[in-house]
Amino acid sequence: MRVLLLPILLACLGAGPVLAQPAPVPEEGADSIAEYRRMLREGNPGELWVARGQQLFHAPRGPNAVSLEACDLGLGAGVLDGAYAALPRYFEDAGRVQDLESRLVHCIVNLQGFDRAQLLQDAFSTGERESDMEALAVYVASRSNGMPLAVQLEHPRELELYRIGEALFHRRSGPLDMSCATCHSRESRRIRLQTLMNISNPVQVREVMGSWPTYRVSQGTVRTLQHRLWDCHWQMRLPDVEYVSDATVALILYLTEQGRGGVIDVPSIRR
Amino acid sequence: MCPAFAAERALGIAALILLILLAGLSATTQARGLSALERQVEAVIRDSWGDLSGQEARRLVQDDTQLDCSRARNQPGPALSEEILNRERARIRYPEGGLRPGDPVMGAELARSGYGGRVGARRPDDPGRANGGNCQACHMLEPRDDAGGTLGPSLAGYGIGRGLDPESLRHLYERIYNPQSQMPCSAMPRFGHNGFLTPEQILDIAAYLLHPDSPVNRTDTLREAPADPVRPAAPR
Repeated sequence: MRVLLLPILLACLGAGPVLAQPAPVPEEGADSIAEYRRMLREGNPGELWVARGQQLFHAPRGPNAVSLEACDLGLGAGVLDGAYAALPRYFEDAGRVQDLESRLVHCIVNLQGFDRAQLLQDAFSTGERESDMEALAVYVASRSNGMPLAVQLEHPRELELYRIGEALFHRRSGPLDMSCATCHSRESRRIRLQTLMNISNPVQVREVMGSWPTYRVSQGTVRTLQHRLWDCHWQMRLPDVEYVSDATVALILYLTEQGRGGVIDVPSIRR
Repeated sequence: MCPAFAAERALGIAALILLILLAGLSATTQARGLSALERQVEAVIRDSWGDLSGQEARRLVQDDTQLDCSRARNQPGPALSEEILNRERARIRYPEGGLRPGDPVMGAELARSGYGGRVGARRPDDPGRANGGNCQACHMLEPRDDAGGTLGPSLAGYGIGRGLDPESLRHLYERIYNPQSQMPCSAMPRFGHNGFLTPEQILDIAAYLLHPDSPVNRTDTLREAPADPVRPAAPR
């Protein structure tokens, strides 16, 4: 692990100044970052999470001692290839629109018999505890690698939640008067040194949405879209948005549709 | 009954219903009633944040200006702009002793600090520690600031041509206390109005930005363009 991490850390430190240019020529900046991602891929520690997720998915676990192989992620029980590319979607058996993580929670609770509240509480890795959800999510997502993001967006509740997600994206609140749009609606802007995705630039949205879950070097773990959204709300000084809540699924549905056609390539690697 | 009369009456009833509907619509708009979609959004929010303390729950509730700017996607027309300007101007409060420049050194620290205000069970900030203004997250602060964000304009040289005179100080205090009193639907937080910074902290930051000797206004370090980016070394 340590052997793997050192060159990655060095490479990321090296990449810092590129991100630091005040007004990067978008193509040039994007090229060098893409180049780095390519170079880093071979040594991406996120692959360890994929491998652990694979074990977790196919092993009999939980009070019911069954695997997740009977889990229907939208394309039929046990079909993993391409399933993530069409999420979030409406599931008849759950009566709601679910993203990758809420669908996994649904299966883990209903098939394996794990406690839902505990699962939600342990969803994100902390310094002391590794999350199973992060590993499972990146494993299932990786089974759609190479495929374009293509939510179906046909069911009335999907359309409804898409519009709710769009409204949430623009909804200002809290002590900083912020919405997602505050940071993500203009081109080539940075918050401190971090470049920001512009929601109106499909190229950027496709790249971002196709590359989560991602290995976060600064956090030493794979992080999922659910974590990214919790983190955004936390930084906006809003209370903790609940894991796999409708607000998060609505935002993920909205963002995934904006990123339609983006090619899934996970785990990526980020600062 | 004569058929023509019946048709006329039906038409009259339809017109009446339309009138009632239109009146209802404009009344709810005036009272800032929520649209069907907005009501759905609020229901999702109530459902997605679980049990919150009153103080945390209040953060999710929009005030009039947050709602107006969300609806206008931060592009208010002339009438709404005027309404917001007047409303937000009236919300500015001034320190008891009047406006005096604060401590520019403390202001420099506050302009950089991103600490404070985060809540929740996972990673809350210590409410006992002072909030920072986090200006640097969105603004480059000084001529040689390569770590500042670009969501807002660079503040390098902000005080040049201004200074610590009462008018400049008042303008900047109001700008930080409530940016929407000058720019409706500005992306910048209403730091004073929202209670994120105290009036004293705002005066410290104002002194840092306006003081002629502040590093913000050191013209000898101003430069035309940022240095060329350093190419990253190849990973070993």
